[in-house]
Amino acid sequence: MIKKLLMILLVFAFIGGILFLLYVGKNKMHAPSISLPVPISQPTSVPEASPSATPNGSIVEMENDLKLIGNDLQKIKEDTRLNPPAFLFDLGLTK
Amino acid sequence: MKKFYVFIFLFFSLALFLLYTKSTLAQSKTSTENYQELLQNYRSYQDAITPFNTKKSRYLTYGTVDTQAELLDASKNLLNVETRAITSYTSFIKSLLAEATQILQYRDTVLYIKLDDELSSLNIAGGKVGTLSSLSEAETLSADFSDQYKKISRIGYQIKSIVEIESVKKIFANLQVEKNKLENFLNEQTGSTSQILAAKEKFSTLNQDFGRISDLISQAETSQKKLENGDPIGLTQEIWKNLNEAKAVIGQIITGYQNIIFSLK
Repeated sequence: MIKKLLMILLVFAFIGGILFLLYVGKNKMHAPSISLPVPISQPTSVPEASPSATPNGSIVEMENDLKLIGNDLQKIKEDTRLNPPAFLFDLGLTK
Repeated sequence: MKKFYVFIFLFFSLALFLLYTKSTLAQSKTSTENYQELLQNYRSYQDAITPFNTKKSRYLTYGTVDTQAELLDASKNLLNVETRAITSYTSFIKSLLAEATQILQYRDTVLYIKLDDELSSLNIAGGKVGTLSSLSEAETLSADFSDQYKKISRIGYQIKSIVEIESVKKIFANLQVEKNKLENFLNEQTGSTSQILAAKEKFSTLNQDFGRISDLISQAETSQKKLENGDPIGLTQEIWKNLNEAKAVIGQIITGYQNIIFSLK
């Protein structure tokens, strides 16, 4: 009987431990591991071109790389999504 | 009996794992998804402004209990959709920074922590909207939102600057790789035709602007560091002015290099 009780206690202690760890993990706001992102697809606003690292590029290779760099430059010129939208905060209810 | 305990243990472990995985996945929307959500919620917010203004005019004209109750409901609705739109914007900038972090060189986590704090506060503030019982309470809550949104906007400007600066730096680094390739290519050209000589001269002239681009990026970075405490709009304009100039010079160099390559074909 005591053995059974001990086993139950052990199981609950283990589950309690996992719950505690999850609770601490979720509430520890200053831990970057919680705030850091999970893998996401690439956005359109940051450069994607990676010129090949060969020191002596052929004309065609350089031409392609420059085209990709030009495209990246154009992309970041056009992105305005991060501008904060405007909101009405002065409701004028108590005038 | 032993099997039963093992079963119970496995069941709880699996349930916990699933719950944790679900909550983690729920937070992992892409910036594109978050931006679509922001557009949708901001449209709902704009749609709620006209009914609110109508109810406000009626209340200011008649001042009856009915019109006051109607205005309180319209205010609650407006604040509700406003909270959702601000939350969407906050989630969007967080996800965009997250994506940019993976590609660019930015590694600081302070902004994530701040955005998590703001999202938690917005969640709490959103819960308060439903419990509003007077117009003065609605006005006070709106003023609180205003203060909070100032902080979020500042972070938004910071992220915009960081993403733009790091993007320009990456493009500039890529351009430098091309510069080295082209330099090696031109050095290999042993002939002295007027075309090769002209190409070498043009290449040398274009390269003089590399220092200018570095300076402009450095100036933008200096302004970006001041964003934490300074005027966000003024500093952001300063950053964009420098970055736009840097982008223009980079564009000229790209066109120049393309011209050199075309002439040597």
